[in-house]
Amino acid sequence: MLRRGRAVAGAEADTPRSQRARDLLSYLAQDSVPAFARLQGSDFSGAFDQVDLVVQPELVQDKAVDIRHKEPVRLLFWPDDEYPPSVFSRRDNFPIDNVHTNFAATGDGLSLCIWEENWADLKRGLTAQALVERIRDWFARTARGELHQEGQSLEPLIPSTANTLILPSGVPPEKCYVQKAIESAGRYTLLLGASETRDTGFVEFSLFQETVEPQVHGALHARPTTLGELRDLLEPMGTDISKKLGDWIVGRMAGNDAMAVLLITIPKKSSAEAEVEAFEVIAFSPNVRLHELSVLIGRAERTPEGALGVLLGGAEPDLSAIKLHGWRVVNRIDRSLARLYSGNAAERDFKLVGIGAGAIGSHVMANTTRAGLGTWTVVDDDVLLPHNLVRQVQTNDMIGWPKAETQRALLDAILDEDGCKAIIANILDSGNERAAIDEALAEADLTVDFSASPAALGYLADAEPAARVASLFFNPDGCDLVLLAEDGNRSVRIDEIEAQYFLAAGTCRPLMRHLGSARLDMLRYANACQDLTRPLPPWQVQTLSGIAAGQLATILSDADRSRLHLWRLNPENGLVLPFSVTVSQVSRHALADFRVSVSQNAVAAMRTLRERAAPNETGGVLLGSFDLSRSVLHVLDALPAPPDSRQSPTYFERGAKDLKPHVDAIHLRSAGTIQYVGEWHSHPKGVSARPSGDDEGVFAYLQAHIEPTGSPYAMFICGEVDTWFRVGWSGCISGEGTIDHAAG
Amino acid sequence: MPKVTFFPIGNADTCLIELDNDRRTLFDFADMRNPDDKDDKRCDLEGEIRARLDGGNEIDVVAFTHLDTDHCKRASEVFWLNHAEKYQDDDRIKIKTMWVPATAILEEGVKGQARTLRSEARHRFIEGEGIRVFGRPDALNDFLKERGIDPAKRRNLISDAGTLAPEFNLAADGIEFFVLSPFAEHCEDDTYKRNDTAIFMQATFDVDERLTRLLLSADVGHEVIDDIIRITRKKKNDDRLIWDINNVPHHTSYLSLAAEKGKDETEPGERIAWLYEDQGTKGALLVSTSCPIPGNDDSDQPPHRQAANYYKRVAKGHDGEFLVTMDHPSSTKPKPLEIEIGKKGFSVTKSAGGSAALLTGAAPRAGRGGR
Repeated sequence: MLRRGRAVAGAEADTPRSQRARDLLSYLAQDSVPAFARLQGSDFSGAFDQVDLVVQPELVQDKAVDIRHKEPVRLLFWPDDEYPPSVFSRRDNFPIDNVHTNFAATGDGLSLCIWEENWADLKRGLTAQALVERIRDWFARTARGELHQEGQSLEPLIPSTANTLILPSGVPPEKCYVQKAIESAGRYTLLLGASETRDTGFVEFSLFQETVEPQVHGALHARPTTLGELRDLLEPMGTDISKKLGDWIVGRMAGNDAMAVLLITIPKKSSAEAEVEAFEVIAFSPNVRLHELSVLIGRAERTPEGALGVLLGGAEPDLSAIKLHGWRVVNRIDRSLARLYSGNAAERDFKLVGIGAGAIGSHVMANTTRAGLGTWTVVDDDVLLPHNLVRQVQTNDMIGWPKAETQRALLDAILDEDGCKAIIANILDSGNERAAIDEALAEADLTVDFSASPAALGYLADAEPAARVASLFFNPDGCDLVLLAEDGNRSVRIDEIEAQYFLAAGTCRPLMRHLGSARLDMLRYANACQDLTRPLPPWQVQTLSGIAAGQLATILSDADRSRLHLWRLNPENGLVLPFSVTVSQVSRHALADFRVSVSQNAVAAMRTLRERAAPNETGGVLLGSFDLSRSVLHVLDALPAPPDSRQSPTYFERGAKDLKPHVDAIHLRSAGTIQYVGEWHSHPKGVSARPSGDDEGVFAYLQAHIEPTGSPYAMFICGEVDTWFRVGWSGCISGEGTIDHAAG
Repeated sequence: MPKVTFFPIGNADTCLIELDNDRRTLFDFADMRNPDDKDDKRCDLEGEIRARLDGGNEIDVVAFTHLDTDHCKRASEVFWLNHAEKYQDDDRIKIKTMWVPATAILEEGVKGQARTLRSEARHRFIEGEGIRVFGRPDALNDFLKERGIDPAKRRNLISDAGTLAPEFNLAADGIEFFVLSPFAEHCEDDTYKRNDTAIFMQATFDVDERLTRLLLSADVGHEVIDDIIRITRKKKNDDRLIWDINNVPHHTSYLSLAAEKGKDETEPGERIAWLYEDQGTKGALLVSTSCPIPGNDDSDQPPHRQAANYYKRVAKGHDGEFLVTMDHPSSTKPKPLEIEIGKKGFSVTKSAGGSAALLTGAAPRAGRGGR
């Protein structure tokens, strides 16, 4: 295919070969839009198309760098646009030491670092105008002092195309080993570590390591390109590289003819008196291997047969003749760097406990680990089975191993910092691990229940060692994410928040189908992940788990309030809608064999209805939930009097019109959790909230009808200043209590 | 950010100052373009000003530095004037407060546009609102007394040189205007030389405590400038002659620098040289509101290349720029010269057609690893 306007062979030297240069010339020649750039000259006879311009950047008056209103620059274009054009300043006194520069692809030394992006991506939209604008913008931003951060090297020590050294995170080890050498597309990546392992492939690398005296902060401004320049760079830093390298190489001459890697660590501090606060590591390889190097630096000579012999003295070698190639040095990341790169504002590692390494748990723990949120103690007694692979982070090679242990191994492998733990136990039946779990709960900033088990959640609610508990789970069809979280003082416990969640699921219109497909006979709000009758696409798991991971960071940064949030994902179009319920405070009462937790929401409902009916008495039924295994009753809501009730200043008879279908619907929508738990009525002003003879009759009625079913039941009387209640269960009265309205 | 705009209208002055609190000041209005001449490169000033009002129809202060045509052309067609109904319809731009030199009220024998604006200024002054008069000649008292008005009742509408115009203040508006001229003594001359009794001000912007100072010097001649410097320095107000931006007087006429044009460069006297060479700040800008600087001396009219050469040398000395309104960004397609005032001083907007820089800037792309 013919290229647009491609210069034909034999074209005159006044035509650029590069389409990009031709486009630039025509942009500069037009006058319909102001270019703020003027052509000064051109030369197309060399290897590159050369175009000289004067550009006029938009400058602030107070300049950080001495950029002028008219800046002469030279652009060198590659004939086939293989690389970005190099841009050089043509001003004699241009402050090259104070601006961002790069090594020109055209090989002409330092060029202005105009292009930071991948050329293949950049050039797609780089019109002639955009090219000029980028240059003007570079000058403008340099003048404003916006182009580089303090301490950032103005000149990259090595081109980004170089071989790469990967260092451990944190302080560079005093002694490093090449642990692995990977070659790809002609470039090496060397993995360095503090312990010795050997897996370096075909090329052997020999590491020379040196730490110079601490330097006061500031970027290095010049890249050593020869051993001589490196010697000159390090000399003022207190290192005689020539001698040290020589001594080192003598000890290596008997070994293989490896490639030398010179690793120089420069400790940095902000002032002469300060402590060392950072390390810059630079690395180079000479263009010759060890044996040749030993000759070139004057420590050895070759016999006529080619054997090496050590030289004890001799002429000063010419180190400037030994060329150096720079290595790109990259540190592995630890949690604090992960926080920086992930935009996580936390200033420390949080300690976290995860109960259940299943679909949501495995993803949330992995995601938060990537964000440097902290360390997880994973509690799970399950074993990884093949079907788990669809919605967990674990992989095929881990099948058969405990989920807790595989999860821990995965988490510890994500960053260059470990610290996660595994406890292989069921939290409800932890046996010998009980003490370990209690210790983990006590140490953790947050324990997160991912188990989707109300029983596990109940256990955590009662677990006194736990500092704070949250719970994250999906609804049965995997489209909704639920987050329940205690505040830092655990003022409303996680089971009380859960009870309020069920009430919301049963009564809030937008949540009508939230638990609609739950199986009432087995699990109340989620199917076990082993249950394959309900396929759940991994993308839904990951989407909702991603939100959950983000919320954990938020919860940890704010311990002041309890939370009850839902996110509803529409699998058809990917829309996610958030939904929040304000957590009601509770009034907690320990009776003889039962605990009663009454939400302020329920008391407020009774008081409002009482006021509204005055001077008549009124009443209705109570809604709540209970956990017989833990002997807990949650009283959550008080319904108004049905329309066929009889209300007068001295008595109240509750009617029943439409009541049963209403309560049944709530029961169904809450996956069978929210149910009728008793009766309430009001006492008028001036009458104490204590049972009258008639009221005792009502309680006896409840006792007669509910007692045999095994459910707990309650009678509440709402008065002017307080609310009185009595709870019965299993053949006896568990106890009575009052809730002072003023305290609410 | 506050913004100062000079418009390409040939040898004529219009400068709009827009503040962060949406208040605006317009110095002069001279819509010089001939709409029937398609080769006329001067801008449609009325359109440009209206576009900058964002749908509003009132300007807080419109200053007429003096009533020459190149400072007020078409003003009576564009602005709502209080003194006669024929200048009142909803399309007109209202002037909350009009600033004029005393001469604009006292001058006799004026015709046309100047007469209409004089009527408006007189009307507002007599009514006692919507005006500020600069300079306090005795003749102003006589003018009031002849109309049965106690001069003391109008004193609050008159500002002397050496004071701040009360319509703006640094704390509330981020700008203050210091009156450098006219002085009463300049106004006493019977001949009322318009140019020399014109309003000459220093505007000081404050953006995050970075002060940027703008000198607005109308068409004042060198003798008067010399006088302004002498008197201002005598009153120890040297700071009021510091400038970051200088709208050089009278379209780069040599007569605002010296009596002699000079061969290739006008040489100002000691005081004026001090104003330009010592009082300009680093990076300072000189703006000539004029036609492009000619390469020869064929015309007597400004701009004069000798004066321009002096200003260019001054700009170079300050590491700054000398820009000409009809030559910005090019003489073939001049555009309004917009200057943003920020916490790093001012910057002249040099924006290429479109938003190329913005749209192809090095926006980092997440998810590919830092580089």
